Amino acid sequence: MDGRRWNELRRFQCRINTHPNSADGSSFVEQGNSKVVCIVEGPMEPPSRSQLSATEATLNISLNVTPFSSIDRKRRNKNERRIQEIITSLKRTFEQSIITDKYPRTTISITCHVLTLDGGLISAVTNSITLALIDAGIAMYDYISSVSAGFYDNTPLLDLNQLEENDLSYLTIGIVGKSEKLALLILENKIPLDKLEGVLAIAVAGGHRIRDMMDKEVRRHGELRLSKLANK
Amino acid sequence: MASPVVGKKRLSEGLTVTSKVFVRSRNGNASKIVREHYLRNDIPCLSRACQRCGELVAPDANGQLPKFILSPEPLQLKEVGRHYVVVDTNIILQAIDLLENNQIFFDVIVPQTVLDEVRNKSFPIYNRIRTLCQDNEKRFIVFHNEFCEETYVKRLDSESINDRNDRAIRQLCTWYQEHLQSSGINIVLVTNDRLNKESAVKNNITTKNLHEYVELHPNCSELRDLIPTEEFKQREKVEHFFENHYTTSRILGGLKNGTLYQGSVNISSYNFLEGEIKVASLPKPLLLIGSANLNRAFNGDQVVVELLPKSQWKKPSTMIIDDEKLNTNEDPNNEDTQISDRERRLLTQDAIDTQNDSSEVQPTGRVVGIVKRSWRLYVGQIVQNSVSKNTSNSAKSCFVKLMDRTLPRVRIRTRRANELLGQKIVVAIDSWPTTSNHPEGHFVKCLGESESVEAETEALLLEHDVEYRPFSKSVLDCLPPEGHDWVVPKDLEDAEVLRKDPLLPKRKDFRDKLVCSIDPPGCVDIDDALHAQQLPNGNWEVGVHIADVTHFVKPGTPLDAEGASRATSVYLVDKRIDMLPMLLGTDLCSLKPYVERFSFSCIWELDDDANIVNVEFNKSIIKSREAFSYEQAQLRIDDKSQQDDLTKGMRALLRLSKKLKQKRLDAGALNLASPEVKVHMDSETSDPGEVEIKKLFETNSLVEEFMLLANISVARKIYSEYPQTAMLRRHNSPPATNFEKLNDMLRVRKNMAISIESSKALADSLDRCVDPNDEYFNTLLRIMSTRAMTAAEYFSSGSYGYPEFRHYGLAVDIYTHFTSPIRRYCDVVAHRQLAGAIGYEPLDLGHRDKSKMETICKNLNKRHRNAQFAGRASIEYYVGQVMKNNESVETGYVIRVFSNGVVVLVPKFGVESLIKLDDLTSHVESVNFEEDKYQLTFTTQDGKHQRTVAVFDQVKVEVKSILDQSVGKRKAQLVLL
Amino acid sequence: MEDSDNADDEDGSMQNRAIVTPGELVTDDPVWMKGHGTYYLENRTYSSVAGTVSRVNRLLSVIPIRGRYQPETGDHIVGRITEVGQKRWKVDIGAKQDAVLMLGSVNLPGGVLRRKNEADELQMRNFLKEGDLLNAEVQSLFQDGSASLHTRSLKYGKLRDGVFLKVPSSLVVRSKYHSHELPGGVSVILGVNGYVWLRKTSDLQQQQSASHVGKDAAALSTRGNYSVGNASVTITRLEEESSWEIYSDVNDQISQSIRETITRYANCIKILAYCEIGITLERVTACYEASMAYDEAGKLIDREVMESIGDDVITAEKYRG
Repeated sequence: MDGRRWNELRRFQCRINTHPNSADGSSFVEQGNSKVVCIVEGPMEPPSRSQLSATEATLNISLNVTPFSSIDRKRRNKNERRIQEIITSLKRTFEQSIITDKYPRTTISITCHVLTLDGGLISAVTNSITLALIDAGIAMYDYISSVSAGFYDNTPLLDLNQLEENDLSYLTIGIVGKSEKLALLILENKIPLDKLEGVLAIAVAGGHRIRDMMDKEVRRHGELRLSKLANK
Repeated sequence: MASPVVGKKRLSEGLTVTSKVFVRSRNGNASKIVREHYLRNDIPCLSRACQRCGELVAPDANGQLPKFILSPEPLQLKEVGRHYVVVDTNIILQAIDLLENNQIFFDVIVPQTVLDEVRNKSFPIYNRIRTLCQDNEKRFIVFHNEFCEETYVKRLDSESINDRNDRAIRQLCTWYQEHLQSSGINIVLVTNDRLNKESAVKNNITTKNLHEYVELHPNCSELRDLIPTEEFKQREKVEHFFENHYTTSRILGGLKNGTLYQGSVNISSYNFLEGEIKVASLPKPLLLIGSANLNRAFNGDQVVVELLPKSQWKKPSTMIIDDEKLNTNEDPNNEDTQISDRERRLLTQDAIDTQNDSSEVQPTGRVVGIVKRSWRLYVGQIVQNSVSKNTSNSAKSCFVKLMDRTLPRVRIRTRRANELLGQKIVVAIDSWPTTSNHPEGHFVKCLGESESVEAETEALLLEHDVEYRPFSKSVLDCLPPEGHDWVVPKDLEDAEVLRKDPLLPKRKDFRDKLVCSIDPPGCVDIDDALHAQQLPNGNWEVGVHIADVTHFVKPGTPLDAEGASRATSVYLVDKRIDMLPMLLGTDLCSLKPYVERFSFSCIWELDDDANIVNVEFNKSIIKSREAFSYEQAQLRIDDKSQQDDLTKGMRALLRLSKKLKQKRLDAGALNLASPEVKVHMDSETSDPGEVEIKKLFETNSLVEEFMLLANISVARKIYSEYPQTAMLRRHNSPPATNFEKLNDMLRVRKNMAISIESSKALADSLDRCVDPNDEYFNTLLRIMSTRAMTAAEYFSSGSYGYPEFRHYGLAVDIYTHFTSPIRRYCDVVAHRQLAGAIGYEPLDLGHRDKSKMETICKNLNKRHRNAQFAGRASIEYYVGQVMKNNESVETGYVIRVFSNGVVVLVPKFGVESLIKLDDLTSHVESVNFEEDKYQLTFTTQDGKHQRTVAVFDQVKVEVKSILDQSVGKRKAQLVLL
Repeated sequence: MEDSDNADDEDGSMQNRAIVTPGELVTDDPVWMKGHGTYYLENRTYSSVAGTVSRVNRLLSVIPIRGRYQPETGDHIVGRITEVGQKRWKVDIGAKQDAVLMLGSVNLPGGVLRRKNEADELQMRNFLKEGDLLNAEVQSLFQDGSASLHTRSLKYGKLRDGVFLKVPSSLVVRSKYHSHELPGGVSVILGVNGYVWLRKTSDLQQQQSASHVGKDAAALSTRGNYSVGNASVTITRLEEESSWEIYSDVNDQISQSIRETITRYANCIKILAYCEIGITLERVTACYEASMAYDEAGKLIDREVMESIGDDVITAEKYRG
């Protein structure tokens, strides 16, 4: 462990609207040493007709784990199975939480760049997407805050770093707002069923804390914008 | 390798985060690793004298608060007053025994920095210090100084990592000193590092080195010898006896590109200068010949070896080489090369011998690095000649000859060498520098007079790494508070009872079944009981009831941890070392007659031919009607006048068991033999009386068959439920090479052969090998085959594929141990898994985790082996005692022939011993060793007769017991007549 | 973007300019009708975006702080052709969906009011092709919120002789005029959708009715290809020529100084966007003046410079009142 208690999050920092001129919504999330930039474009006209849905928006997510993000510099194939799986589950998650029927015949394209990776890949990406979507003014039912939690000996641990992820079985959850509803639950290895509850409980608590931090940032940013708008 | 800290960021909750940056080299490439490091200001000091830290505590995940352990009234010593001790890494590494000593070192603060360093250097010591810290008696705590804001130190640019760590320790001392100033408790830093000490003094930290600290104690004289040897002053003449080991990077590189091999050394028990190492990529084991090639490796060490050129490949030596013959040099202060000259001569001769016959040469290698030492505590005795007669009270060097003959003698320094002569002592090994012919060690403790029962027993327990200390308080606390008064609740519906044990309704009530137990006479830990009754449809309901140990031993408790680490009960001739505390083993769990007990039952429906129709597993309550010994049970069954239901049930069991056995034998189960003997003790003097070979009754086999059946049924059940982690037992088919030699001997000497294609073939061929003139020959052959077998082992089902689960000896496809949970930990695990499989209670995590199961299995296997060895050693010792009193002439069998001796087994006592040629003949020249015929021809001592001895020969030997002066070990001495 | 000036202050607990974030409960009073940026669950209205609450009569909506341009009828916008289709162009106007420009709602050469025929359909690419920029007005909105455009005025049409800029649409203040002439021979079209076109003030603009001789060969040849079927007699030749010219692809000669001025204006608008100041003619001009302190237009993209100029503009404005 790195000096945190079992139920403490890593340092969480986020900013939104980091690329105001080049995207509709953008965000930057730092969870410990994992850093993710997310850019949202849209809703916009889809690049090709085939993706068009007459009743709701389609979501395009791409996830780029940069080769320099992890310790050993290795080039990851974009079509790597794991990445594809993550994308699929992210897509499902956000299709649920974006009010997609408000944007018929459009595409929302989400691009995430993982700059450094130190565990919690999915959770950092999920949080950054949530923020970027909010920044883009896209209607969502609620925040999706995500955090990973694992299990060591008899102790559930929150927000694992890479070192811990490598040795432990862990899950990543996405929580809808302040509720205890899960929009995302990824468990890549095994956690015994009777321990799952405890792990989930701390993850939910951690997710709520992350939500509050994200909310604070959104509000801070909102105030800033409003104060500037007053200058009109 | 580290250069930490880029910057600090303050987080809101009094947490600071910095990052640790360090460079790691992997495969020769340097890569930079950045890790977060959180600093906090709410780490409690854990001293009960402190008023401030009480508010800081935060519960852990189980809602438990950390306990404040350090005493408010710590030990007071003259120079330092009331104090807590802070130790540094080297102190722990060198003097862990001293830290564990009950007379010194209380209220010790172990900095986390130190703990980490210890872990990197030696994992066993790390575990020991962890145990110390968990055990509150000595009041050891770990302070997480690396995570505390006030005590965290950054590494400076010019600083080495060790210097930084030393500084961190000093910082911790300063912090504690300030923190506890109000309560008047001092902090003493104990370190042997001179530089560290100097700097500490500059910072006003009370610092002592180990010697100084020990001297402060009033009873220091006893403790003094326990202080490990410090670095010897460099001798003027530095002579290197061994080549340096390769550097780590070279070893890693070599292992990677396949030029070096890693494995564990196995030193021949007949020749301490010859070792074998099994390497995965080579079909035959590599030989390591001579001390230079062994290069300081101990038996069991994980080493890295390099192949020698083909010209140096050799056959395994056929010579017996003993340490004492070679070590003429007895002055431990003077290193001399004479020894190796003689050694070399012997080896060269050997080499010449084997060169002629190049067909059987084995590749040889030499050790170039030692990955992991298998060093532990060793028992031995001071070599008399090595003690100088000078009686001054200064520390002197002397040699200690270890009990284990595969190990070299150890040099220690002690003031009490003369006192300790003739005593069994425990030593720890500190190092083995290249400049020394012998490893350096230090005295740990004295076990007592050599040959006294207590000392010998303790010695052999220590030597086999058997934990024999009484159970600690934390373990005993896990027992039911009612103690011996614990009973199975009367009313199973009672709300109060149900509250205490909500699983009770899931138990089946089998109290009406006519259950009885059959065990060896005098058995108090009754694991199993049986019953049989005929069903209306003519089939038989047979139940095996096993003590429900897991009802009392819950996973995750200290009791469980203790059981897991002991892994098995150890049976010595006069003593039993229990795996679980007496209360459980001999009372609460034991299925004693006439009382109700919890059990885990396996109930079959068997048809008349003992085919399984149905099987069911249940936790249950039983009441045993009677506890029989094998003999009693046999009498009862045979007694025609007994016609009660219980006896009828037993008869049915016997009948069914015979059918089961026949089926098993038909499937190819082996009937092997080992020279098992039993020592009768004179009940009054507890002197060993006579030795007797164990007697077997039909009832032995009755119990055995049903236990096997239960084990197999359980194995199938848990495997189907937990395909990855089921606790199973397998027995590999023996590798053909193991039988090559035996078969060759058979062919040459007896014109017989055994087939090892399958266990069935082996069983049949063993049956065929009968010498009409010698009825013991078949048994002898079975004993020798048993030795050629691989040992059965515990494993978790994820480690092997299903076809490899086979138990060769029993000829079943899957097997486990289920029936003796009181004395084997494997059974405890199997019980838990079965309870999980039948949905009785959820299975603990540790038994569902593949890697954890593997660790458990590894320990089980090791302990199991050690326990066997310890048991044998104990028998050997007592047999020696028996023989001391009555020398006799017995029949023996030659089982191995060397160029300068033979090994003879005496079935009567179950002992085997080496008879050296030197004792047989003085005419060394007249010896003719015919290796291909396995025979040795020599002229007898008196020079009159020519005599030939060959393998399998029956010989008359005079058995007597002599005391080996140097080892202090009594062994059976055989003299060929 | 409007401030929530109209917000109903009856609800005392709601602060006027309070920011709500997604998932936040806006009201549990069912009398409110839910508007944009909200959703309705179990008798409660929640916000679905981060923004300010606006209450118009019984309509409760949340206006996002940031978002794509939402077209409204009458908006003067700048757009880019993305697709040429049957009888229509698709125009990217920075909204959620591309807008539609019907063949029928453009001025065609040969008369404003003439009927469009099949020949016109075939030639659509000659008028406007993919990538062409144009300014237009939102004519109407479709059901799904996408816009239909028209360019049926001489002030609308194809754009050339200048540079394109994109600013957040929320910064362009809707006003009566969005096309302005700026000092220094440059004019600007501040599209409501945040697309901005800066160009040399064209001769055409300067002398609306004056005869124009400098026609390009391209324009002529295009016209030559055009077989006039029913040229209206009411249209003068001059008009016809200028009509053709509005679809020309070739830029006029632009002098170095004008180029620099355009650049400077472009950077000025960027400054305003960077400082998130609403973009109006006055501010652009003020900014331009303030920027004259730096002789190179390139220097204007320094962050510090941008900030200082932005501050200057604001303070100057306040000073003026």
